[in-house]
Amino acid sequence: MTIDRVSSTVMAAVGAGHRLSPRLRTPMLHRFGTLLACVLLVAIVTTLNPAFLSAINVANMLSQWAPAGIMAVGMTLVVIVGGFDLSIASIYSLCAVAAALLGQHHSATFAFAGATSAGVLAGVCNATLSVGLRINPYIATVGSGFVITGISLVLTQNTAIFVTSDTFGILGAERWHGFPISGLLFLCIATGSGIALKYTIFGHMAYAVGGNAEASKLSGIPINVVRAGTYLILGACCGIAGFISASQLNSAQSTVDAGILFDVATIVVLGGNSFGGGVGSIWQTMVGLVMVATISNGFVMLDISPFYQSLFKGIIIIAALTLDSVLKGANSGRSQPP
Amino acid sequence: MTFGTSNRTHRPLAAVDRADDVVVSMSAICKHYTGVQALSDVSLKVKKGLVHSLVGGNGAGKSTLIKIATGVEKPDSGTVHVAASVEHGRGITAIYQELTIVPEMTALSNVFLGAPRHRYSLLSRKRMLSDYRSIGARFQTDIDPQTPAGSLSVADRQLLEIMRALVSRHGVIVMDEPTASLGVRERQNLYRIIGELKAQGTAIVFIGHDLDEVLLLSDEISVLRNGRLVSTQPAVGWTRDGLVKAMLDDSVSERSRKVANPDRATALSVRNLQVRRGRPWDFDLLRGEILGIGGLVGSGRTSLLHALAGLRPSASGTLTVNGVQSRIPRNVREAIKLGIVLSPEDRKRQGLVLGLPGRTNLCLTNLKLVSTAMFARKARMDALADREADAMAFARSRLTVPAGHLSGGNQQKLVIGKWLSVKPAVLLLDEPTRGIDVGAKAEVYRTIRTLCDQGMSVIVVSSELSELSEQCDRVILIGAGRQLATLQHQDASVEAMTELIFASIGSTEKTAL
Repeated sequence: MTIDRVSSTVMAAVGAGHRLSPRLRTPMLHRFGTLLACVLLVAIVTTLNPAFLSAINVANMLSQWAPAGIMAVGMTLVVIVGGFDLSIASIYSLCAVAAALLGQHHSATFAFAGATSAGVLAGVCNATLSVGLRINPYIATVGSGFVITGISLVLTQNTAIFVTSDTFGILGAERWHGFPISGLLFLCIATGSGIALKYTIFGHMAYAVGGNAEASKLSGIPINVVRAGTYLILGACCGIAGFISASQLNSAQSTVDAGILFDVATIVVLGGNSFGGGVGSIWQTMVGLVMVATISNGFVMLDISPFYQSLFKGIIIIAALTLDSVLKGANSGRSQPP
Repeated sequence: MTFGTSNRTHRPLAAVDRADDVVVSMSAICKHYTGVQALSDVSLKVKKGLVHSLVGGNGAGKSTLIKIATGVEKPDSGTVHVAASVEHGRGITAIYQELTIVPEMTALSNVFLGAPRHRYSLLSRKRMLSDYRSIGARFQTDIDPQTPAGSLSVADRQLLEIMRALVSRHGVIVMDEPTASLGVRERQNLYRIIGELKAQGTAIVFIGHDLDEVLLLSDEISVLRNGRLVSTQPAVGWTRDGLVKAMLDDSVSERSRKVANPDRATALSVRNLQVRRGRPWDFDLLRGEILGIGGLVGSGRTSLLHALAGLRPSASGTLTVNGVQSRIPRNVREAIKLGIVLSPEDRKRQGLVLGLPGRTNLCLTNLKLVSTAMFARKARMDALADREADAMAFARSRLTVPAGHLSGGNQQKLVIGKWLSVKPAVLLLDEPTRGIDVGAKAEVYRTIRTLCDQGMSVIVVSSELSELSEQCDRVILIGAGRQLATLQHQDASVEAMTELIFASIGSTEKTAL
């Protein structure tokens, strides 16, 4: 009953673009459509269990979703430029392992720097493959993902690495006036990236390259530098996320959370960021994150079997992609001169 | 869709225009693309066993007309009737100007692409091979059927395309410039095969730029101009001069613009510029001058502009821009540093980021100029965009509209306007007025002229000779892989240019023969 109600509301909200005249089907509506769906979702879950919006639960969610959120921010940049990265779960795990290995014998700061560097290095590899060698990013990052997972396996011999240092767990577990530090770090990264996208030269170039790479190149924009840059930033984000995960658990293993790739992809898509490139923003990703977090946490808060969670997530991804495709279709299809 | 027998009772049997001989009849065809009337009120009859040729300049509507005849495009209005005899057979086939060879497949598979031979529902390689050999023999060619088509020369690929049209035994074959890439022997073979096809009753629609060839091959010739049918007459009624005259606009063009002062400094000199094959380029561009480059599609005009704009890093030669000598730019940023910028041929694909507003598009070429440290300043972007919009006579109020929603003329203004902030010495315009209406065209040229008066120099490539004739201080004509002539404004009439371009095609043919 509850699932049905939530499901139909989301579908109605997400599908709102369908029946409107083509002129109104703009990216603007697209964005507000998902925002509306998000607000409704939160409202429904809160109505059914007011504890959902309690300070403790929000803080917990913030801490729990910080790694995925940080990676989603990096992924948003890559997607805006028209690329994609399927190796992020592998990079995330490798960086967690790197953090744990370094954290055993060195300071937490050193482990943080090491994990971030490992992430950037993985980003360099992905950029080399998909930008330098022009391999399709989907294929290239599947390949690099296997290699990176392999490295983690070799490093850990498939055992968990435990860290006993006192300082190592601070970022993952400590709170500042009730706010989880990992959540604050995530909000800082999101805000910084949002500002970078909207107000810097790099941001303007990213939208231009994603919107029309050929025209950008002919305008003198270094398109390969911009594309490669986004992979490096995503790598760094995975590194930070990996460290947070290791810090939260005080341990790491070669497959920390393979499902995080799908969480991140869902967050980015749900926010309305288009895989075609050129469209999207950090705040849309934040909307996507709130929706995904609400679905996951809401199931727990409403005491519903976790078996339904996968089903429901899947339906929402498909609905969002259908909407994306319908909105894209409205803008093309005019007859072109020969 | 039936046509023919029913008409016979109402019409007397005339020798030339027997109704049951007409296999394709197009009447009152109109076709409009965004901003261009490609065809207006064109009627045409193609008859069994005859070669019907279409001639006309670039953009006259020949290609659109055959696309409509073969059903690739739908007309806005008008009807296409295909005779029952043809329709029950294999219909109409076309050999298109753009080759439709699948490069990964073998020569054999390419020839039988649309009509594979089969036995018991299985492909019959044996039958295909024997058919391939017999058709190959008619062309006196021996292209190995196993060769991947991608590794063949353009002429061989063109032959495969023709062979494909022959094996499927269509009632009507449309040939869009089939001889453009063929050598003398292959041409002679094609002429002979066209003769054989005619004898078998196949109707042929032939499009060619070589007027001598057209006169030699055709039974009937239709001349198109600016999307209208000028005249259809039996080939014996046409002469070469008559065709050229019919292809030209008879309205006397406005060419009264006074030529600017000729003793000006050289802005750009190009020496020994080798882009692909063909002879190298050598020319000078004066400061404040508009230099036109005219020639048929595919004559190398666009690749010349691309080489100057840094898009052909393999090109060789030297440039001197405002007295400073340099090599050919290796990328767009090098070209911008030299002061050479390009407004590309395809506004939507190459010129603009369609999803972004005009304002942002105008700033993309020079984001550094509007930024402090790494931050692009909104106020400065707005100011820059306003300045560029004013210079291009683009309404400021439309700067917030996504570029994809603007008209062709407004898009063109943005594509040119975005370069103004880098203060280019040389502006390259590739087909700047394609698909935009007359008013916008005039406005674009007015603003370009103003920019020239301020010291910028312009090279224009256009398929419309009338435009080159009216707007350019000088015109370089190219064809047959070389610079044919350089005409001053007063000599560059459409008539003179057409003569020179089509003479060059005739002459290579003759020297080759």
